[in-house]
Amino acid sequence: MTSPMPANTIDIQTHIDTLVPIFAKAAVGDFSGDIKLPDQEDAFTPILAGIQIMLEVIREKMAESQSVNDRLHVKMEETTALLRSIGDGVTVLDTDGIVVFLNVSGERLVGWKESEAIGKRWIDLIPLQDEEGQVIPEDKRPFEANYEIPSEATVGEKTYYYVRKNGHRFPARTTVSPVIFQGRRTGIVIVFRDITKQKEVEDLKSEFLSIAAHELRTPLGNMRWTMDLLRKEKAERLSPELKAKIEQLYENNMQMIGLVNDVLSISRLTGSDTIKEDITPTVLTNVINTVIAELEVEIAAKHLTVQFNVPDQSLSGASFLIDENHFRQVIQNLLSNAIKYNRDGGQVTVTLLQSPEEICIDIADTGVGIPDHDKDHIFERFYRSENVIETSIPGTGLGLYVVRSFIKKWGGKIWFESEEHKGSTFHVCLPKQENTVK
Amino acid sequence: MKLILVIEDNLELQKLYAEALQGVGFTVKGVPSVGEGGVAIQEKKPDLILLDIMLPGGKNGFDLLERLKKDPETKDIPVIVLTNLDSEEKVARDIGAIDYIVKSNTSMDQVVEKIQKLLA
Repeated sequence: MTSPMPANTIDIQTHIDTLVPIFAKAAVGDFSGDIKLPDQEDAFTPILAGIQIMLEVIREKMAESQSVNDRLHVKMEETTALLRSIGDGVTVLDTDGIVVFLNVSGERLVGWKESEAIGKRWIDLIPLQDEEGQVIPEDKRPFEANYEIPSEATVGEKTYYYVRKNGHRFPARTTVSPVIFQGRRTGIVIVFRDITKQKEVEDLKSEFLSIAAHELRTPLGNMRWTMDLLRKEKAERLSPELKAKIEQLYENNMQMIGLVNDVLSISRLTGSDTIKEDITPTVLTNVINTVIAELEVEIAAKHLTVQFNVPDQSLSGASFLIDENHFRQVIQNLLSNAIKYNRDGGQVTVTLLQSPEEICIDIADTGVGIPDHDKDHIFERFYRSENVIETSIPGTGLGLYVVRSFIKKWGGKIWFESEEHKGSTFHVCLPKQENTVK
Repeated sequence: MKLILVIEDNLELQKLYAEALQGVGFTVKGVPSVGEGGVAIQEKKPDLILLDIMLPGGKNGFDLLERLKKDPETKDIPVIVLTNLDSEEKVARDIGAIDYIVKSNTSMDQVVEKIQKLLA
């Protein structure tokens, strides 16, 4: 028989029976339930109360955490929805070039579902073709070769064609940028779009320009030849005054012809597809001599001495693979400037040189020169320095822009020295590698 | 005297060719279309053909050039393409033109000189 417990002894068993189920639930992450405090306070009471408080705090914290999780989840879903709904195709590749994400537009464009694309190498999934339909081999694919992660966003300039799942292709414009996470590059994002419509517009524009140029050139060409014939008329048939007027007409006409050529070139150069070049073997000395001959009227009018020096005889008559018309335009613009801005009785010296890697042309004049503050701008479209705007020398400010655009296209360099009232010397150098001398 | 056939639909230009080339001793016949060009070539084989590209119906000049170069009877007649299109030189030479001249970018003298060199 047990004696009743004294009033101030602790009833341990009851407390253990209360706590054990609580701990058992907590062990599996269930913090529900409350501890009922006994009516009779004893030494254990603070422990029970403490544990009850703990339960309540834990439940509160868990609810907060859940709420944060829910919000994160919603945000993630929103962001994914955003990415998916971007109108352009977006694909994310990891550092091995394997697809980890493809948005809805991308799926539509390439014909592959994201679930089919994930886990595959992008360049295996989407073959790339050039304009002519040749498949671009793996090591030649721009930006994607060897999964080199670009350090900046790069936009493809050439038009390449993506080949869809069904084998059909579309012209694509792509932007490739690195994914940077916590300071490290972790992948590539490719944004791509179908530019079929733009290409059509560009092709139409290009054709329109060619036709417009053709239509403009027809009467200009006829006038040129008519005047060529007139200028050959014997002295008895034409008075000096008439001859002078014909010369003026001729000069104006030549200016118009130059303008049509320049405007056509500029339109083509600033289009997003590269200007079509007709690369043929061109004898540079012939072109330069021809241009000088064409300008003989202007040269004579200003009493200029023009010299064309070819110190390296092997260059005389040598062929160079280049677009002859465009090269002629470059020479025409440079020589025309050297003559236009020259003083009466001045000189123009043209020199053709070569080094093992380059062919260079120097054009020196004794003209008005370029003021220092204009020097950084003269290659800009429509830019004319103040010291010539005030004169009656005609010009559109397009010549040097065209010249530099072509030279940049050919991988060459152009630079100049100039001093006001003394003259200017322009230097053009073209790399031999792409334009091998035959 | 050598015969030059000019296939050019612009009559003013035909007259200019005639004046310039007859002046240096050539006989010149001008026709305004590919069809008439074909007929003229059959009637009397020219020593040189000056061919425009944009002829009635489109870029027919190239069609004619191709046919001429495929026909053993006519493939040896030199053809100079004279045009105001500036982007077709490679195409023209690939089909068989012996020279390609952009009219507005070339003086009459240069054209005559090229022809004289060719027919010397």
